[in-house]
Amino acid sequence: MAIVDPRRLIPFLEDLEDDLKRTQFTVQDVAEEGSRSQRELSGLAEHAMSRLLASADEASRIASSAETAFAEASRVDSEAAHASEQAKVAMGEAQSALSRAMAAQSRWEGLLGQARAWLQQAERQLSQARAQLATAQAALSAAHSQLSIAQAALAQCQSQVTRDAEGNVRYPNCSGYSSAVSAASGAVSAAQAQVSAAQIAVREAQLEVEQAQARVALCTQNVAIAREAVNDGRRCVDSGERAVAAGQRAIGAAQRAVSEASAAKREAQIARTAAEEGVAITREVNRMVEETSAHVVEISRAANEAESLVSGSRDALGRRVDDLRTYDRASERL
Amino acid sequence: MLDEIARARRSAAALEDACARHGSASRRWAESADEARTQWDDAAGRALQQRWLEPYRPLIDGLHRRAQSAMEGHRTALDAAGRAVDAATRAADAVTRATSALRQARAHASTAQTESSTAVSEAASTRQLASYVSERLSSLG
Repeated sequence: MAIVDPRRLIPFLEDLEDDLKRTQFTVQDVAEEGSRSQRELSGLAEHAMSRLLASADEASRIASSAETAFAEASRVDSEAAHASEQAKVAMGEAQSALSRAMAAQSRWEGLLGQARAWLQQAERQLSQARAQLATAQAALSAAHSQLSIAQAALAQCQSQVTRDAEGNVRYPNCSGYSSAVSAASGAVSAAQAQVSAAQIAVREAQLEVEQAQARVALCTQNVAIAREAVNDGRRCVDSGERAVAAGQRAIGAAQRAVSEASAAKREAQIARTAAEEGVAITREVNRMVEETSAHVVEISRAANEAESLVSGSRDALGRRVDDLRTYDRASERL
Repeated sequence: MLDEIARARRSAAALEDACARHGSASRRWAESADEARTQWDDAAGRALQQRWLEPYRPLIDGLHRRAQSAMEGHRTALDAAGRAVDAATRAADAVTRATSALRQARAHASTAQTESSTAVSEAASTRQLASYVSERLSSLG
């Protein structure tokens, strides 16, 4: 059924033109938004790929460094264990040295005590010997005096030579004096022997005192040396304790180094795996972007064609509406 | 990257809106065109229909289908890109942790070396001193 009334047809055609105009806008919007979305997605994929490749490179580099660090940490760990062992051996030697020094000090202090007791004893004996010598010497002196007296008496006696009536020389009987001289002489000899014995005893006691003094001096010196050795031994043990502590710290730090290097290896592997996974996904994204790119190109081409058609349609419709209006106005005038 | 994801999502949403608007506009246009064809059925009307309007119909329908396909493709690609970004973030985080652990490992190794040297040096001093003590003790007889 053909409509001849332009007043009814014009609104239809104007509506159609409006709808065409609207589709023209929406077609343009779709084409623009499709292109923009395509660009955003491409940019996103490109950036993600760039980051992922950079992460993969970085992860590879760190994995390599972590391997080196792990090897280094293992070497350091071994060194630390060796150093710690050395420190323990040194500590054992230090404790042994201190123990021996303390034993030596104790032994020589004991020997010093004995030497001092010996010296005291020897000094007492010397004193007694000297006293005995003095007594013997006094006795000898007294014996000498007695001898002199006896000898004087004997001489006195022997000088009393007389002559008898016949002129014969008559000698006095001095046998008693002689006996006294003999006895006094024997006493001197005995006293002399006492003095000699006392002198020997004094010399022996003196010698023993000197030996005891030498022993005391030796023990005193050795006690001093042993005390210095004990002091050195204590410093030695202190040094050993520092060595052992440093060895323990070295082992602790080395084990932490090994642990951290292992963590670095593990994390680098996680990074590599994630980066490789991301790269695979991004390649898939790129493939999808390529596929949608074909659609977007088609959309743009269709949008251009639509633009051309809409433009022609609107011109044709516009002309037709103008014709109808002209016709309508002419009909009104008639 | 998160900004870019958000931007790409906004673009995809804008494309979806545009597709929806286009679907609605093209349906309305098709109805108007059908109405016009029934109302304007003379030679001029048919000529206009044939020359301009009929070719337009498959064109915008095809465009709509392409746009739908592009939209679906973008949505899928965007989801995959999100996973790729997650992977990139995980990789970057792991790289950061690995770098930190590596730095720590090197610092601890350096400390261990220093302490080992100290231990060896102290052990040597200790043994020397122990030897000196032994010499002193041996001089006691």
